[in-house]
Amino acid sequence: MNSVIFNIEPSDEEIAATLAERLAIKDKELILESRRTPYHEKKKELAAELKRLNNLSREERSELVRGINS
Amino acid sequence: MDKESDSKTGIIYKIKFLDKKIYIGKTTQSLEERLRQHVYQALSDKKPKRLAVELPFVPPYRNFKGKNSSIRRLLTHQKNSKELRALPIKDQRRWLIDELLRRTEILEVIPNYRPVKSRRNPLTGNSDNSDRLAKAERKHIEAAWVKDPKQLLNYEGLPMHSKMKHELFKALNKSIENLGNCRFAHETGNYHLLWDWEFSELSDDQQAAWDEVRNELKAKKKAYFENMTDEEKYKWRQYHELCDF
Repeated sequence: MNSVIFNIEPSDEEIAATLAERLAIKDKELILESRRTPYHEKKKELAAELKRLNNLSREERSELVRGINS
Repeated sequence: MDKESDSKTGIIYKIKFLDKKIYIGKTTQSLEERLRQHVYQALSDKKPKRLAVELPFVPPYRNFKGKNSSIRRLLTHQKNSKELRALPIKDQRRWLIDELLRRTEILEVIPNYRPVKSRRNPLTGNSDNSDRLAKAERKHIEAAWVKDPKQLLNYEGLPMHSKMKHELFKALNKSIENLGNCRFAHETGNYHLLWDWEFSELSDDQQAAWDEVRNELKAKKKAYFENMTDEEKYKWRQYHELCDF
C-alpha cells in the first residue's frame, strides 16, 4: 500500500511539463541570440511603430487614445 | 466573510521628478508605505526582476529615464548631494521618502475598492477593464501621454504598448514553435511539448533529456517523502486514499 501511495516514479505528464518548461527557456535564449525569426521581425516592426507614435501631434495622440477606448 | 470589510481605498498618485518627468502609480496601501517601497527598490543593489524577461521592450523616447534612476537622481542632483550620499543608507532612504512625499500629488481616490483580477483576452491581449483602480490609473496615464509623452516614465501602462507587448509575445511563441520542441497554449498559459516529443519515437538526444528530467523528478520526490514527518505522511496517505476511493 505504502509503495503505491508514496510512489516516487513521476508520471509521463509530469516529465513532459517539466521538460517543456526547460526547453522553452533554452529556445528563448536561442531566439534572442539569432536575428532572423518572427520575433525579430515583429520587434523591428514595433520599433518603427513606436517611432511613429513618438512623432504624433497632441491632437493625433488624443484621437488615438479615444479610438482605442471606444 | 463580510464583503464590505474586503473593500479598500485605492489611490492614484503622480510623482514629479527632475526634468519634468512624471510617474503615475496606483496603490491600496498608504501613500507613505508605497513611496517607501519605491525608495527601497531604487536604492537596492539587486537587479530588478523583469516580469517578462522575454520582452525587452524598447523605450520609445530617447530621453527615457527609468523610475528607479529618477528617484536616485533626486539624491545625486542636489546641491548638498555629497553630504547626503555620505549619510547611512537608512537616512538616505528617509530623506528620499520625505522628498517623494513632497513631490507626490494624489490624482484620484477610489473609495470602496475591491480588487478584481482583470481578465485578458489571450488572442488580442486586451484587458476587460473590470478592475476600477487599474482603469483609473490607465485613464491618468493616457491623459499624461496625450499632454506630453516625453514626460511619462511609465509608458508601459499605455494600452497600445500592452498590445505591442502581446504581439511580441505571440511572435516569440511562434519562433519557439518553429524550433520544434514546444508550443505555448493560451488555454493553460504554459508551454507544452510538440507532437514529435509526445507521440513519435524519441531520438537519442531527446531520450537522454527525457531520462535526465525523469531521474531528477524521482530524486526530488524521494527526498520529499523522506523528509516528511509522520503527521504529514498520515495526511498524505489519507488524501490519496480518499482520491482513490
